[in-house]
Amino acid sequence: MEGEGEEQTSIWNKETVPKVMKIVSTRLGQRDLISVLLLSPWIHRTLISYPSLWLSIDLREMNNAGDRLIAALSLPRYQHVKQISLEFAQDIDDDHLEVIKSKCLGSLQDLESLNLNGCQKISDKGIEAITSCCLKLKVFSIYWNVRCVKMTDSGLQQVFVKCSFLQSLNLYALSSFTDEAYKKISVLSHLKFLDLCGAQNLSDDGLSCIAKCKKLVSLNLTWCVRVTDVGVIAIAESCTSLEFLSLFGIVGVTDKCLEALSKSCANTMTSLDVNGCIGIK
Amino acid sequence: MYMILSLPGTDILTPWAFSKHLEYTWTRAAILTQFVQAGSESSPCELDQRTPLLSSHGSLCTQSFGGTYSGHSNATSPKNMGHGDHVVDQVARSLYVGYRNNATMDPAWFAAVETICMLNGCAMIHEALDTQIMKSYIWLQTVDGSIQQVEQEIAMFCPMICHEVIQKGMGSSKNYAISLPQQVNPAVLSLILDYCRFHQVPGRSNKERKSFDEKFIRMDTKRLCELTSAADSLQLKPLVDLTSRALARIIEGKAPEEIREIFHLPDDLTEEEKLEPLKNATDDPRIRLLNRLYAKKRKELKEREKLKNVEVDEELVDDRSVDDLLSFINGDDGDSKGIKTSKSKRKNRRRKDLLKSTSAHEATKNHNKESNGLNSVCRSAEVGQILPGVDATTNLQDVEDDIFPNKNEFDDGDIDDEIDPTLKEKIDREVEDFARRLNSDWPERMQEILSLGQEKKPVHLSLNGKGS
Repeated sequence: MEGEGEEQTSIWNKETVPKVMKIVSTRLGQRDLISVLLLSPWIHRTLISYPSLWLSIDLREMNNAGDRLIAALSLPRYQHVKQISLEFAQDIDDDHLEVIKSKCLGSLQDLESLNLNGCQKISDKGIEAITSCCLKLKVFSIYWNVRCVKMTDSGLQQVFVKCSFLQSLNLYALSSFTDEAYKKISVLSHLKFLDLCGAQNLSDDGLSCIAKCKKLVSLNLTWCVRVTDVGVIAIAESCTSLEFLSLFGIVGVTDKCLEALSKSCANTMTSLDVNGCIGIK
Repeated sequence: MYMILSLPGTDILTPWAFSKHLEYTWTRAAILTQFVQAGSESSPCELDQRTPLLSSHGSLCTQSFGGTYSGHSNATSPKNMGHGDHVVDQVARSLYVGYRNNATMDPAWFAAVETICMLNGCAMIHEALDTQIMKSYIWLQTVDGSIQQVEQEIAMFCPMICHEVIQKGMGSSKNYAISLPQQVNPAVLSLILDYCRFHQVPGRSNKERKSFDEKFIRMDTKRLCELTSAADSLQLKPLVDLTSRALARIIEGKAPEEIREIFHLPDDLTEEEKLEPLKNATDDPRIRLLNRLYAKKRKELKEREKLKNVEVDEELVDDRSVDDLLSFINGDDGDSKGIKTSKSKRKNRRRKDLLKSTSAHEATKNHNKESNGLNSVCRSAEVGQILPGVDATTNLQDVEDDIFPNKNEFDDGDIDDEIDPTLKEKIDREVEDFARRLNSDWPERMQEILSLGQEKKPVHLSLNGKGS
């Protein structure tokens, strides 16, 4: 009887539960997945053998994020990671990213999405380091606490040069970039989503360069107060697939740009935000 | 089909004729089998001579059935049968004999016969066929060796069983029962069949199905786990989806300790856990303890729900005092967010219980140990001066071990009803005070604590009800 009970328990622990956890794991978010991974050595072994579960590293809001990221990227299961989120993670800086570049290059080859929102200690150096590893990057997001701006024009340019497959770029509230930064943006020929909310230094020149990204689908120019009709018309004429455009708070635009927009993007445009555009009647 | 071809006396027929002959033969064979069977019990069967079945095969059947037949067990031929009847007779007998001897009978035969009858509109014959002999059952054997038969349409709802029947011809009789995978024990099989029985009926609305599903998955987690495993082995995807969704909901947001408890897994900190860079909680024994205590608390709350109407002295775990205190101290740790949110939901109720229980508590031993653990924590937070001099043993494991054995001393029936009104007021005041403290910022709290320590006994930190 004893033996039978033990055998039952053994089957439960080593076969039944790991198998069930594998089935359930496809429905779990990364955090929960990690919790399950740690339940028992048998579950661990089972889950590790399914690479499709391990394509995302979620370090949002975690402390010691830099060290954790390096450790994670050194694990075999993350060799093909596609998505890394460090949104509001703490304790990560340029040095960590440089270490990653020198030691974990292999793991970043498949990275498609990188979220560095709120990582206040990362500057150009770190950005350059990490983006030079991920040439397949499609989605890049650096949305910062406005007080702590460490990224400059050249840092952004590095991103453009290295990650030419970028489709989505979120630079919300990065107010320090000047027009220089956007000169090279046209290399991002696949760019579809661009968020420049709060880019107060962006002028029509910069916007004209941006207009060269013809595949733009969504453009957020909220509070880009130096922009006028000239810039918007350039966008309208070039980005004919535009679906979403926000000119929120831009006082320098008038009905002229609306005409241009309606001429070229009327078919595709679904959302146009002109709140606060007092120049428009 | 092969049987017919190999029988002596078969005429050589054109393809069309052959197929018609086949239809005819099969059908009649089935009827005859019925007759023969019935004959062995000496009961007559009636057959309506005007049935369409017979007239559509007029070219082959020069005579029609008519009147009453009384079959008998060694029937050579019923009265008035047509010229092909001896073939039919032999087929029928082979079928019958074969079935009776439990040889492998392709269920497809019976299904085909039944279909032909239905197609020909022979309701009466169809009914006659629909007996123990002809009704399609599938034989299943579970891992414990027990065999049962299940209605075909229900069992075939499971792809694995369907495959066994169609591809391998299994399941038609007891000797050829389909061996179900080892994950399927009789209890779980019963559940699965309930599911199949409901869902295989085509006429149900989505709403009905959803409602059934919601009620169906209300079972304990262990059973749910077994069910998932079994359904997966039978490739019954809709049930796997249903159960795994339910399990995912159970697992979401819980720490490994809690999950282990729910799934009855050995409660050891694994090597993997120690080395995992992405684990959620900080590698802090206090947090681990907290999680374990939460798991136990949740279990007890559940049990209390069940025993709600019964007047039982329930166990009160005094872990809440440690919970509150630890997270009070740890309040601003980045990673304790999750802990904070679940805590805040039950803050008030727990605090009430807590204060009540501590006031009811007589032994100081447990209390001292709490202060002990707390003290070490406090010391690290530089508020050591608050508590009176206690041994600074930082052994939280002791705290946990001591808390649980003492829980039986607490009386925790319907909480509010049993509290003396004046005591209740006092508790309410303390609760408000405590809430205020917990909600204010850490630096301010520090100030308060420090000033408190100078004024009077630190009631709120040590939560010694006796002290107020």
